[in-house]
Amino acid sequence: MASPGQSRQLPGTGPGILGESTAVGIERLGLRDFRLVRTADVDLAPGANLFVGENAQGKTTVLEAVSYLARGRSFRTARDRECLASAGDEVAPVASAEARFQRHGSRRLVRAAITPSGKTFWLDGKALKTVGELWGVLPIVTFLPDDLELVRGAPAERRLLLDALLAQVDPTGLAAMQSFNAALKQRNALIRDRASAAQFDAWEAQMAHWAARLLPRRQRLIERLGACVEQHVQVLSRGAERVAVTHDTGWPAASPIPALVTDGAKASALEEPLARAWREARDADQDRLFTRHGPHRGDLSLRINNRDARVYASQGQARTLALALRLGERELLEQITGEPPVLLLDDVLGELDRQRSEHFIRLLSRDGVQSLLTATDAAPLEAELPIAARFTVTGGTVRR
Amino acid sequence: MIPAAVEALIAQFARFPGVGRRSAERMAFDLLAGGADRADTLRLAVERLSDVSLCPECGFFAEQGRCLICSQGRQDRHQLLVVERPMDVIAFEKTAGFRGLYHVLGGHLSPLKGITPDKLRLISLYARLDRGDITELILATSPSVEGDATSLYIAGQVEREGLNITRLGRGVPMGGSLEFSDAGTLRLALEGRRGLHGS
Ligand SMILES: [Zn+2]
Repeated sequence: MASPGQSRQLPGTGPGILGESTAVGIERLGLRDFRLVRTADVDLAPGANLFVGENAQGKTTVLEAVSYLARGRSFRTARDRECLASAGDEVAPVASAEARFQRHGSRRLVRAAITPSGKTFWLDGKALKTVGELWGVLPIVTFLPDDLELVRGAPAERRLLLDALLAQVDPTGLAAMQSFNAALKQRNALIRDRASAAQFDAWEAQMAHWAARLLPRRQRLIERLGACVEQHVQVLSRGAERVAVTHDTGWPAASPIPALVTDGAKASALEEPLARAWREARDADQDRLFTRHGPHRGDLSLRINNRDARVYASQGQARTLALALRLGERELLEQITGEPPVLLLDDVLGELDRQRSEHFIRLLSRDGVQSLLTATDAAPLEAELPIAARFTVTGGTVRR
Repeated sequence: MIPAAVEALIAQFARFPGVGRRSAERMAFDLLAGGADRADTLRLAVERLSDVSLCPECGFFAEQGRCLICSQGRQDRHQLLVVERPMDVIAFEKTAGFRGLYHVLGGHLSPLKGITPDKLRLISLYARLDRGDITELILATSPSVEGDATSLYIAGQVEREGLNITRLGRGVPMGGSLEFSDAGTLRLALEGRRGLHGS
């Protein structure tokens, strides 16, 4: 494949013509030296695309490459270097992937190159300055075997879902989140340095400015997400379970901040109380050596039948809720962007019982929904779901 | 294949912003083709750079003592515009909308990178303000989280009766650079400056 500096165009790539096709989603996917896959060029179909193969043959690698193209990162690891293909001691210098896709009536080309020293992305041949520019261009939703962690796991698991959703639908919210995080890192450095109060004042004012813009946006997003998730749980459990999804703002309940945010306070009304909250937390933060409260500690609060789902949900309830969270994420992406996101399902349908998989399969069969699914055995899926294209993945090669 | 002496020159040219390896080669071979005279002229020009220092007053580039701006009779010696880098002074001079004095900080605060207040030219700023001639302090640090925090910090340090502190208005996009903003945008940002507190 071409070196990362060059932009290699796929045949037939160019600005889309409105009305040429109503298909939404990825048309062509290419991988080079990407984890388990040496070379693959795959023409995807609208609808369900099934990748069948034994474990460790490369079928999840295909989904992982799509995750890089859509979000600039893997859903499996934070260590980008693991994506470089290797044979024995030899590691490929570049792992790359590209996808030609259609959104909102135009045809676009996104490309990613990962090297040991970093990663670069191109959109329609133009190198992007930050990964942030990639977010929202090709919205995706992942359904993974360890999605149960969304319910049972640490707040970071749910925050990732929340941040990814915000980043894909709300550029202003994404900018506020990035600016807040930048100011937060500086305050944590001040804490380690035992810096002067005047310096704390300046950086906390920045944190307050951006958090006051981020929190109301997160609040509105969670309200909408919660409504979607509650409906899906109703359907999945045939009305047996009641859930409530609300915003945990990252402050203790005794603080005035949570009530202000959930009551819909505007940015201008939040800035001062936020700055004061961090000022008052300074001494205790210095003892603990980090900023204990703030949007960076925010979470989705999940309650099932009025009890904390993280602690009290049964295995079955947790599965229902985890699936409903992903389905809610999917629905909200479609509501806000006007087009369905591409769905990545890594070996998940086999895990579901009849009731849950019926609901899921109805959704996957809907017109205009593109999905990429992996499975070790095709037969059970093919019996229930119309498969538009089927690929066999063995030893890092992908064949239709 | 390329002689080591030429290679060394190419490596130096390639360090300039926006100059790639190919351009650096063209520059080096062009210089070589120009003969001894041209190379000598360039060498002298580079040597003269050692006469350039930072103005002890404002931190802008100067030759022998104070810079041209500080030693000029500026129209408005009551306005002081604070910027991060010397290049920002040049950007504002091009707008022709500002006739006051400058103060170059030498960067912005970033505790993460060890850039604490003592690493910026702040003592000399406070000294200038203490003389009492300045009535308006315009904070024109970069439009970024770090630039905003730096401005807020300075404002907190110099607040006093009779000193109006303003911040550059919006217009320069967040994360953008003053140096690369066009003159029209900078002029608008300057005209749109607002009080730092209470607005
Ligand atoms: Zn000067």
